[in-house]
Amino acid sequence: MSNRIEKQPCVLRCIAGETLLIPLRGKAADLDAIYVLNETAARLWEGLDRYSDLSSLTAYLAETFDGVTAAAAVQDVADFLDALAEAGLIRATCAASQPVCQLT
Amino acid sequence: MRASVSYAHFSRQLHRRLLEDRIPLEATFEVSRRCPLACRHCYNNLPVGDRAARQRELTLDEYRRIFDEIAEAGTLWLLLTGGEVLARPDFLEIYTEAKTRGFLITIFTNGTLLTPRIADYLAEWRPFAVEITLYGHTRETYERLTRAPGSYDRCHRGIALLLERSLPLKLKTVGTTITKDEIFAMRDWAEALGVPFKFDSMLNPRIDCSQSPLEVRLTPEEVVELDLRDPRRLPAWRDLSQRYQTAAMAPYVTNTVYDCGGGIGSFAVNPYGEMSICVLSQTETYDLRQGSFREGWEHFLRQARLQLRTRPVKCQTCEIRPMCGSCAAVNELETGDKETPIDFACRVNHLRAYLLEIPLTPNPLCEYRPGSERYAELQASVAALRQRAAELGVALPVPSRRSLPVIPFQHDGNSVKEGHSNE
Repeated sequence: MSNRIEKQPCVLRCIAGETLLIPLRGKAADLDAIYVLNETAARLWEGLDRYSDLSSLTAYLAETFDGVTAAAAVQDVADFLDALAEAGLIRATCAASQPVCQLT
Repeated sequence: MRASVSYAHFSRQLHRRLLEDRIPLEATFEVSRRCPLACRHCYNNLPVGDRAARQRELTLDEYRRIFDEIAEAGTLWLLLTGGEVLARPDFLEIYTEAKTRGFLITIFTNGTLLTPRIADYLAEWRPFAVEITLYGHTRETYERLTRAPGSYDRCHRGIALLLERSLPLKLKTVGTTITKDEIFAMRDWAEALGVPFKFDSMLNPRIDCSQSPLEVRLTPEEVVELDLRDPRRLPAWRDLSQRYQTAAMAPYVTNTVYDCGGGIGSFAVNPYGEMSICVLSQTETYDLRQGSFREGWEHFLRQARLQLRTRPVKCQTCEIRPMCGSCAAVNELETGDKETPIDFACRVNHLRAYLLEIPLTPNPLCEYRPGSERYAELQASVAALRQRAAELGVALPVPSRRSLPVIPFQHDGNSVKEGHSNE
């Protein structure tokens, strides 16, 4: 049984050279902080439309950026997903029964 | 890989950049000028049942197109205001169209038309902020200003609906001859609720040229006395003055009729799709029903914003310009001329500056500067306000630094003389 990652409703905006992640619904939309993504993070966020687990996201990142190995990327991807989860911007579900569970 | 920065830090950085790049970061949309209240001080309200006005208002499809265009152009902060936004039965649809494009939305409302259904919806699709204006602490005062029986209870019901859902509510009021004795009761009430509160006393004539709001406007001395009664206000005015004296603003301040952020980083759209520099600026409008936002922003509004002054005015070299309530738009509403500063704002500003001991240089164009015709008369008001501060037990802020030149001492034997080295 593997964890699957589900994006919460957000809009990615590019304004004045910055890539911003704007949450739309629920408590995540209360703006205590603003989420500014660098290029890697923005690509990962877009990647979440197609890949919904840690290993495939890590492989996607390694394919997208030259010189990045899956082994090197795995911790970065995990950290990013943890941060998104903490902010309420993604949630992890178990594929079989769909309850909320831990990301890692 | 990612950065989560504080909202305040992010906002400051982005606003700094917009001065160089002229990005339309902030938009104000007057969703409807119709309103169920008939406030004596209001600058733009129309009867809620004004069918002709309703028929002219933008359709939902027109909002969709305009929101697409401004999102593409870089707008982030979106203010939806009125009149009363909820006078539009389809307000939540307009709001949702804006929300799903990723704007950070603030809603100005009087709260009287809020319902549990609307509050539930906002709790799910949360706005950046909701600001409700209080028109009095007591029912009698509130409805004396709004001229709408029952409006006090409806407003308080609306506030409760938002608070029950922990929505990001802010309260505010306007200082008028009717509300002035209840401002601090409203502040205390708001703070007891844990809700931020602010007030403003700068009233303008109506945009249809009626001067009726000025009938309830406070005198400049009354406006500044309200500052004395709130220990946070006077230091805040000085901070504002210092913070915005930046080199980055200089090209926009020196020679242009408009000297604000309108047309550089912000714009307004009225209920009929006409874009302008701000909600008060009425003479230069670009019809978004006839042309694209980009065309209007890049060409029309740029030209409007960069129009040059035709004559020297006292505001051009005014050190306390950033604290002032005067601007081209309000000048035009009150004097009929963008370049003629309104005396009310200038007098309020100078009263504040003298109380704060901000150094002001003589200026032959300004009647309130040392050596000018109204200086002595204004100083009498300053003295009276100092006396009032003493009665209230208010310690006026000590200036943080002096920018007047220090006159060097000259030693002559055992005597010490100040200046006059060429005797």
